[in-house]
Amino acid sequence: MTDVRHHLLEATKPGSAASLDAEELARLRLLAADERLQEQRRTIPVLDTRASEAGVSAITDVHDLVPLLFAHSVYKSYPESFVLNGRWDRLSVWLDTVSTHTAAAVDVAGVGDVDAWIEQLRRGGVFVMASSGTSGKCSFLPLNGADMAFLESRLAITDRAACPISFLGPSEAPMRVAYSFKAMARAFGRPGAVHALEEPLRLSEQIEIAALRKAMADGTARPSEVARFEAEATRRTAEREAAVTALLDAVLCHRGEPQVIFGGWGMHWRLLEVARERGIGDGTFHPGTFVNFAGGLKGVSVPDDYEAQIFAFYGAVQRRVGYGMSELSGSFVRCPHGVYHWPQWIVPLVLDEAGETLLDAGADGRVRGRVAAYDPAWDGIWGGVVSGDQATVDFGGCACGQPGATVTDIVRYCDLSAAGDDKLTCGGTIDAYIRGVVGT
Amino acid sequence: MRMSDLLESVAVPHVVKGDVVEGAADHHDAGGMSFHTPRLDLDRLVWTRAEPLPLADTNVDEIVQVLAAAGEHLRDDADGLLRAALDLLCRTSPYERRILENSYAELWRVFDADRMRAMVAGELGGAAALDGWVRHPDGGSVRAYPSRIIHVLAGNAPSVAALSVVRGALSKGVHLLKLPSNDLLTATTIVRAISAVAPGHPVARSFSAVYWRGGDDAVEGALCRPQYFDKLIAWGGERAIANAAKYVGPGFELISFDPKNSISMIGEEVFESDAALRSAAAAAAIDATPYNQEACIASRFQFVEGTVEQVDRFCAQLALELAAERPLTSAIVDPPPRDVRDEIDALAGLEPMYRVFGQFDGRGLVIRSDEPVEFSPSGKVVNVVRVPSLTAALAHVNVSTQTVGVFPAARKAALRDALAAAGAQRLVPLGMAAGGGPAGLPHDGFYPLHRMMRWISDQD
Repeated sequence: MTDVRHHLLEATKPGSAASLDAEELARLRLLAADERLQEQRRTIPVLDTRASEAGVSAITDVHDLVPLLFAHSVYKSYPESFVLNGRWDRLSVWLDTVSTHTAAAVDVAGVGDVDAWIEQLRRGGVFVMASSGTSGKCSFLPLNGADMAFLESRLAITDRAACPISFLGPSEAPMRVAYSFKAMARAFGRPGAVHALEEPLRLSEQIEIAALRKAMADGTARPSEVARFEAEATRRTAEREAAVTALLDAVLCHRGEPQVIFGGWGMHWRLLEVARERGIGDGTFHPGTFVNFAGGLKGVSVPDDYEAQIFAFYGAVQRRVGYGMSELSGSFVRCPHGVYHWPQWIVPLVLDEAGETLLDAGADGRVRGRVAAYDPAWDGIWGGVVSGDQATVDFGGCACGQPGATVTDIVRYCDLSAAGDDKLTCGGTIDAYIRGVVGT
Repeated sequence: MRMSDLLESVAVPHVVKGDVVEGAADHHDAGGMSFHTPRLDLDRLVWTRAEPLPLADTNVDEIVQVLAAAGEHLRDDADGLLRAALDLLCRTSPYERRILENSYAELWRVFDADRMRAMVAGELGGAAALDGWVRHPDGGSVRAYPSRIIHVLAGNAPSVAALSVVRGALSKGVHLLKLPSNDLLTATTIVRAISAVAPGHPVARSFSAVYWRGGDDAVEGALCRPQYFDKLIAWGGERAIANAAKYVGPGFELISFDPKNSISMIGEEVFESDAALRSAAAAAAIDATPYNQEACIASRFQFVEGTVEQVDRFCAQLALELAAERPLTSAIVDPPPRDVRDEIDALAGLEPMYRVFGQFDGRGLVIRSDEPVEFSPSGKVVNVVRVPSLTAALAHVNVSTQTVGVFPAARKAALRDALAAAGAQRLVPLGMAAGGGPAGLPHDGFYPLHRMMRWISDQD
């Protein structure tokens, strides 16, 4: 790691004694961005193409970063046929176009499905973080060993006496949160009291959804296949239900002692529901409990005041509410003033809706638009990313006293457009009404 | 958006049963535009079933004359209203002014008397069933009775409003036109032209054109009822159609001009000579680019028979041709959005499996692949898919495939049954996608005028 990056990342580490003023931070972040550009454009083909097209050879100003940002969708820019047809060698070649890796050098002969491909790459030092959308097409974010080490150095909690720790999800999954959970479980999880869903997350199931959707679009799927698929999905859901309930019961069993709980909002709500079924009221958790909240509802239906209900349910525990995106190395933690704080080492950017133009903050230091960022921490991928989220970013500081930009009122653009617009045209994309909606 | 656009609210008049209604009671922000309209009077937007329809006793010949006169009025635009509609559209339209001017300059042709008569002949077999009861050869009589129709217009091309008015008047029904936020003045201007040439005429009294926000349940829930209207014609986006569909029920029918895509099929004959290659690439570019490829007739995927080397030659020539300025195409368009650029860059990195011709400079770009890319190419981006034979392309045709341009045209006959079976709706010689062809042909797989009628029988 270069000196500037090292200095920046060390100085912004939580608990660091170093204090950098805002101007110095901004300067260091740009210097780090430029260093990374010079190094990584030699190894990330898409970055090199982008820099050449934009005519950007050095980063001296935040405006230089804008044309170099990748859409978050770049990590699913592979042709879906590679996955559907099991061309894992080709998928590895694609991975190398968006990262500094040499995934193509990892032998994937004999790999049978996407889960095996990810496992094989992991053995070869490429840590693919996957996520899937409703379309069934997965995004693959390829991190390397240095990236994983950095993430492990920034865990939400590190220093703690041995205690029960639970993750309200599958611990065997190619996801950041699963890796972090396992690192924390190793650090302070009390043997015999580490809980998570044991069945590994299988991306192959997502791929089956994608394959079926494609077959439906092509008109080759038979109605009986669709029916069988839906029956199978129902069966799997029922099976998992039992495992989820067992996990939530385990968490409830530890509520009289300090414990650590990680989970998305939807699963926290499920915990509350199970507790109520068991006759467990609000505020029964030990005050030494640490609860991390993140992510979305994942299809769980909740009342409008779910957050207040969940907080009342846990009672006076330590809470950490985070907002994050898999393309950034740090999470945005909510302070008592209800705003999410931008990790200090990451360059905050706000763009117009198209994601093309940098928006300046108004006189009050605030600006609303598409959230984008440059993250110098990454080694295996380029740190510039344009998110799918709209939010208000406040560059003016927060009353809580923490320095740096803050984020509030986050909504996903894909949810916004669903609100409807009567700006009509006759040209359309082949979409849900033909493809059919399966397994969502 | 310019600051002046933000500050200046545009006055959008309504037309109710032929009368202009002005006012600024309601303010709207939609489609990147700030504008005000008169307050909607829902009661005045319906034609009660207790009174006969205005055009009940007017014959088709007279309607054609009125429309033709309105067409001339629009062509001359002496009152400047069409120009005002054009000026407003220029503020929000993604197209340059020249394209919109060309589009408006041709608008009056929709009102050509011969074309309208051909439409009636082609779709209904003539005006007889519109003007009266027609004897069935085996006994009894049939009449094409008019309907009460709500039209949810699309704003990407002014011809949508013109066609809606022509079909609506010829059907003799009554028509409530819902203005799209991306074209707030064209439909009212056309209806006002009718009032200008024939004040108080039943044709004029058969049309209202008003704005409400698409999906506004307070308005749509009140109007979209079989007591008031028989049919709803929806143009455009999937969401608009889905929204319209929720009102469909017994007695209230949806006629949908679904969102569509178009493709090209180019046979190996293209490689028989350089001249053939050049002319086919030019024709392919013409088909790909109407309204900078935003129109449903614009070809996005082009299936080409040949070896990689041959298909790459076609791609290179096509990329050159895409750069040309054409009447409905800009020389330089906005580059593709960032996510599409990223995807294309990733594909370029996979050469030779994929190959990209051209740059993100808005002049046009071609991606060669062995199967269609997953995004919908737009903004002068064409995906050329190499196929061993044109029949292999049929796997990628479905009911959203509207127009298929074929080269050479002689191969259409061998493909058309299979294309129809797969879902396609219109075949043209390559290069003719934007050519309207004769009036009275089906549109999107049906005869619109025929669907707009209620067919009544009187058995002996």
